[in-house]
Amino acid sequence: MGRTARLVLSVPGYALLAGVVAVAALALFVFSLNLPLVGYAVTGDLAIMARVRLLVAQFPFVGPSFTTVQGLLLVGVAALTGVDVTMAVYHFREHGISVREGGSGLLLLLPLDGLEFALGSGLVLLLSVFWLADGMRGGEINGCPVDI
Amino acid sequence: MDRRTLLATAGTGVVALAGCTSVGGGGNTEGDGQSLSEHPAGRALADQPTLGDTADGTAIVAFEDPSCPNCRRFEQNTLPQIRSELVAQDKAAFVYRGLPIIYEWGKPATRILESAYDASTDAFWALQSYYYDEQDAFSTDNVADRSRTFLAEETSVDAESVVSAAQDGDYDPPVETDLAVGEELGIGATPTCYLFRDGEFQTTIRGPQGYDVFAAGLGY
Repeated sequence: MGRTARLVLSVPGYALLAGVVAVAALALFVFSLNLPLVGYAVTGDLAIMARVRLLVAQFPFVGPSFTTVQGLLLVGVAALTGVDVTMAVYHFREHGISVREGGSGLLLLLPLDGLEFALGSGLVLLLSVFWLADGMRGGEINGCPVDI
Repeated sequence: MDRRTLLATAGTGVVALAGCTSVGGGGNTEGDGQSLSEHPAGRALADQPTLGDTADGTAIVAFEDPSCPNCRRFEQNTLPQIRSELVAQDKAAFVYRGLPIIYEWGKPATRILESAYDASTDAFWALQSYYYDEQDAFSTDNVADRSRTFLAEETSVDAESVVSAAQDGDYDPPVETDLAVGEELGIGATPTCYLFRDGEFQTTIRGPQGYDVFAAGLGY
């Protein structure tokens, strides 16, 4: 699983995609916990810098909403989401979409509201990455064979 | 269970759980545009412990539970700056509403707080800080005794009468009022704060947010 993920992420375009998806996932996670505030930041009668301050403060390690452990878990889950989505995109582009992998699409939607969900979704994402890697066995990524 | 079934079940479960944990609502259901006096968060406002003056309608109304760890983080990390930067400079008032929904000892603690507030505002704020500072030491069994000892040693109120009144149910009604308001607003987690600026409700702020969120939300 780790080797497959590393090979996919060794392609610059896919690494960029993983980063973008991870940031988007993290934003989705943290914003979902304070939807009225996010709505106010977007549509309220506020200066542009106030809007930015409200939104940026929702992220772990920027604002104090999350403890260090919570922040690490959130970032970890977001990073796994980035890897998972990127591997799914790679797999679908290189190997085509099959019904067998269709179910994993549900796993790409992982909003959470609490530490327990971060732990749970991390496990689910790891399983998803594992199964995607399992499904890629026997192929090639960036010129390297995937046979482990 | 084959892999597809497992994935579909897990995915559906995650989505369902996420829906269950979405606390409260957004938009108009939370009272957009309502004044502090009209909004449910402002109900019985004159009876609530308040720092500063709510007359100009700019206020933070915080629903907190003394047993809530996130409230402790909010009280210790954010409230001091709200006091010094907003309340002390007459930019906003801070209103405390007890909402004991986390641990069981929060219920008797909130009743004792109400009783203490009736006896002395200073005693209320001192006891409230004590609960958060020593949060891990409290339980349902010791909250009355520890509160009595603290009030007797650190404040000028009659500690025995304050605690006894709370235990006799004299202060159940104000706690029930706050719980009813919390239920009406759909509050399922603490701290939850309601922001009012120039007399109008602006937004709900959930969790132990930092000072900058409150300042930015109020236009500072």
